[in-house]
Amino acid sequence: MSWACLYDRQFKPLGAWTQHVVSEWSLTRKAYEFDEFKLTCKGFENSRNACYIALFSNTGKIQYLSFCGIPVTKDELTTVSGIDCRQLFNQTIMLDLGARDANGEFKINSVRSLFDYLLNDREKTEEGGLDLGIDYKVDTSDLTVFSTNDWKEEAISREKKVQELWKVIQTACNIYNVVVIAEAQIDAIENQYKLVFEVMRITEKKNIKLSDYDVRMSNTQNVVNRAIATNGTDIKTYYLTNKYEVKEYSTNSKDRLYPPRIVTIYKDPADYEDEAQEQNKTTAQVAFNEAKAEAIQQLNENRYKDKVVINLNTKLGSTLDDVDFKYMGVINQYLPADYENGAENTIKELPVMSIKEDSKGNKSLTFGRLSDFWFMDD
Amino acid sequence: MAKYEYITGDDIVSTIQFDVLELETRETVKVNGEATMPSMDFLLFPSGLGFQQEVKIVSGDTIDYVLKQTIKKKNIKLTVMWKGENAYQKYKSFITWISTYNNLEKYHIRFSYVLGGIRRYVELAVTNIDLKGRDDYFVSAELTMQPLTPFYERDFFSIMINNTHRGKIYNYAYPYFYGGGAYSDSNLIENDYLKQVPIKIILKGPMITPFVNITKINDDGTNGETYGSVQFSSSTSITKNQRIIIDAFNNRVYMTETNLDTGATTTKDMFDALDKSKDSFLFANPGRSKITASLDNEEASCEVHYVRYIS
Repeated sequence: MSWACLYDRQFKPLGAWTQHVVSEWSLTRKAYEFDEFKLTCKGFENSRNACYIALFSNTGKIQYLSFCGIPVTKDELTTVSGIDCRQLFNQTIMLDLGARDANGEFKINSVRSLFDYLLNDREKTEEGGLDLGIDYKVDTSDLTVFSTNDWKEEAISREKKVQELWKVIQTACNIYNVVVIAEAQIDAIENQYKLVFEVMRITEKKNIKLSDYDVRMSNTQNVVNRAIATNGTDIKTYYLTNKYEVKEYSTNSKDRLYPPRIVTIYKDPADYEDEAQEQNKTTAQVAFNEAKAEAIQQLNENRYKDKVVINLNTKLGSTLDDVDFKYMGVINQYLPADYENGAENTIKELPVMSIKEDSKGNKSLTFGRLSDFWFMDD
Repeated sequence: MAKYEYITGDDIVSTIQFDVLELETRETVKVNGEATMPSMDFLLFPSGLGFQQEVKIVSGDTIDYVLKQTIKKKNIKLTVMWKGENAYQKYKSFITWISTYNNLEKYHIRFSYVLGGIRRYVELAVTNIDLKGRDDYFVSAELTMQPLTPFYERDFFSIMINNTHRGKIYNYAYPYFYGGGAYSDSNLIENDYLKQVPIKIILKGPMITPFVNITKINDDGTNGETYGSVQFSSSTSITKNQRIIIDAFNNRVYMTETNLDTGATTTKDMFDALDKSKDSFLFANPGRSKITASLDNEEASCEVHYVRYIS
């Protein structure tokens, strides 16, 4: 049994009686897309000023928090289709990843500074920025372990331009193997919930032997796996490997994906005169850098297109109950017939893509990332 | 020698009773000092009194593996009969009685019968009454009831007070049971049910930063893990005429205050005053547990209510 509570923007619970018994709920938490959450509960007498909906376990532990949208009350039952709090970042806005400090150095020069810039309300940092109207905190403390050597300058486009913020965040998540999650954390001093966006590294590994579980797999091989970046003069080719890494090769390698699916990213140097002046580089250099960043981004978007769904209500399913978005699944016995060196090499590493559960006790775990036809799977 | 032999044996139908619980107090509703009951002359053919379990399994080659075990609640059906020329009038009284207590947020109608010398109760909602035509001297109706709880044998109720407190008498009528738990290790919750059972706690002031904990009692009688804890924020306190009710039966945490001059009682939701890092409600795990509470002041007390459900 669960119950729900509506909160206003300041996390004050709404209603004369604030707790409402939930008749049914379903939640799919997703690492790289927006969560899907729906619940039906005993009718709220009024939902004016409602901003958040929280789902609680029977003893009162908060299980999930989302924006509540517009609750619909009918026949004494209220239905809420929750809106993932990370939708705050689903905006098309001006991003300036090439801004410099007083010393002429890039302000964004580390993984942490990149996510701090992307996730923080730009109203606080830049004039004329966003006014999101929502108080939240950003926790990037887990990113302090990244060193300067981990910074991938090639993968970032320094050009000041209008971009889809969520897409830029997800590109960065792909490059550095991190996930952004939204959480209701408790401020112990004020005894109040706070909305916190936390950036977590994928640090844990879980060995999974596929024959131990009830598994549904889908493999997507028809994705772009080579990207050629060029400015008309310089050329560089990037490869998506069968271990889902984006690499640059000088010789052929066994871990390339076949058949080759190639995309060419061409950037015309003539389009980058202003940027070249700003960055004190030639137009050819700037155009080539932009082409390389876009090539890497395209291949990164195609990482983990395979998908492994494990029903946790089947034999040994409970062994995966503790798995969350910090985990990378080390999946054994993955397509053994496709590997020339036998079963010991049939290991794929796939991140946790989604965790789906509902009030009926169903729970499943999906490893992978996006597939082309994900919407046809269920 | 008789051709047929009539066998008489034990009987549960004659032991069937209905009464009404008021949810706020969980006391039997009384009219003119007697527990209220519906008018009926006979009951026949009760069904749904047994046991149903759903077991979710994974089939193996040799043995099956249990994933989940759930006790299912079965609808209870029976035939109610009224006799005499005014049988329909009696039926009308019966319907009026049902309607009077049909507010499920305030009352639960309770059905009970005696098995093996012990009365078993279940709280339920009447979902269907199918009135039949008169059959000579009788009028009958088929009654369908949906259980809202598992069956239980009795309510348990205990009061904990500070050890230094003296002189109060707690007098609760059947089926309440005085657990006698002074603020010592004597308070005990025994849960023989397969799952956790809800607990209702009433904290009476004065108290500063009220809390209540539930702790496992190990097989050897020692204290085990404290597995549930409801704590109010540091700015919360209650006075002598205030009570905090933490009611896991009805999913509400609230405070009542009685005006000493007028006797009027006001109610206020206290959910937001809970320490959000702790629990909101207490449930007793299967096995034995005990309650501890913030009873520093000798005027303060903690009432604990739970129901011993049976499978």
